[in-house]
Amino acid sequence: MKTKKLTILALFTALAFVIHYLESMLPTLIPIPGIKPGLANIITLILLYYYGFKDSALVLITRILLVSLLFGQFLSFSYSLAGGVLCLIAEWLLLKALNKRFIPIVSALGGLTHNMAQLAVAFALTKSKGVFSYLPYLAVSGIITGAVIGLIITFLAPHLTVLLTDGQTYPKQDE
Amino acid sequence: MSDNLTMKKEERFALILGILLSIILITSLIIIFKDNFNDKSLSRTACIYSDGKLVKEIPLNSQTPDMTFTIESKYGSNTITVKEGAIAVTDADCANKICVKEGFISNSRLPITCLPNRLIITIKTKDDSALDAVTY
Repeated sequence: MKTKKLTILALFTALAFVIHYLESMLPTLIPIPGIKPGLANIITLILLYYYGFKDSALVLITRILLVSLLFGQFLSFSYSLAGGVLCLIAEWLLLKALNKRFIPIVSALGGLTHNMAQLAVAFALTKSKGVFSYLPYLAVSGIITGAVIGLIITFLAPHLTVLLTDGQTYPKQDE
Repeated sequence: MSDNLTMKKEERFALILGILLSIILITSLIIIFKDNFNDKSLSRTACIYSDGKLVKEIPLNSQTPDMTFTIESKYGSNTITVKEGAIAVTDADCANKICVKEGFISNSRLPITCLPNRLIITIKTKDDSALDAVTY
């Protein structure tokens, strides 16, 4: 791993960690479990976009481990990990098939996957069919927050390209 | 530059995904807003599940006496209050207290959920109007 990449991955892990933590301190606006902005996924998607699956997964898992170890309980760990990893896999597959112009669509589907995975974990833990009444709410929130994150990345992309790739316009052009 | 008439394969795929997302979004919104639980002819029962098992059933109507009790499990405890035909979790030892913030429910499709303590309160409805029609 090149020094620059190592530094950037460490920096982004710290950034994702702080975003995740600050978000957990925000008051709950909608009292439905599972509905939150999920802004730390911006970092996951940026790294996926520029560096690929392995580096993004590394940062994602480190972030979730850190947050759960320092502030959370085992419960938040299982939810975050299931949601985060499935979301990452979905976005990875979609990014392979889609042009980078379609980041908001990729991100919206990722958000949807994230929430559906969390719902599955909730069902596994509570063993109650009652949790499925949250499905439409979680679907709407996943799609909307995902799309917003995708738009944020679209606007950030020109600046990030300079930072992350020594100024080449399309870093993964050779693929 | 791609020709306007022949859409690139990628763009078509993105379009399909976009349409799929819109359909999911619209269906979900319709389900959320078409909540017919306000129908007065339905009789309601609150079912309290702890760790996947039904522990208590309380009929919710104007005759239901007010009460407060605590449900304990190996994950934690929740204090539940029944008042004027509505039910709420009024105290809990969980971290985020989302269950308490959900407040009183009597006719909501959404259950009260305390995920850390594996507690769910759902409202079960039964249509009495059909029976009433026969027994006049």
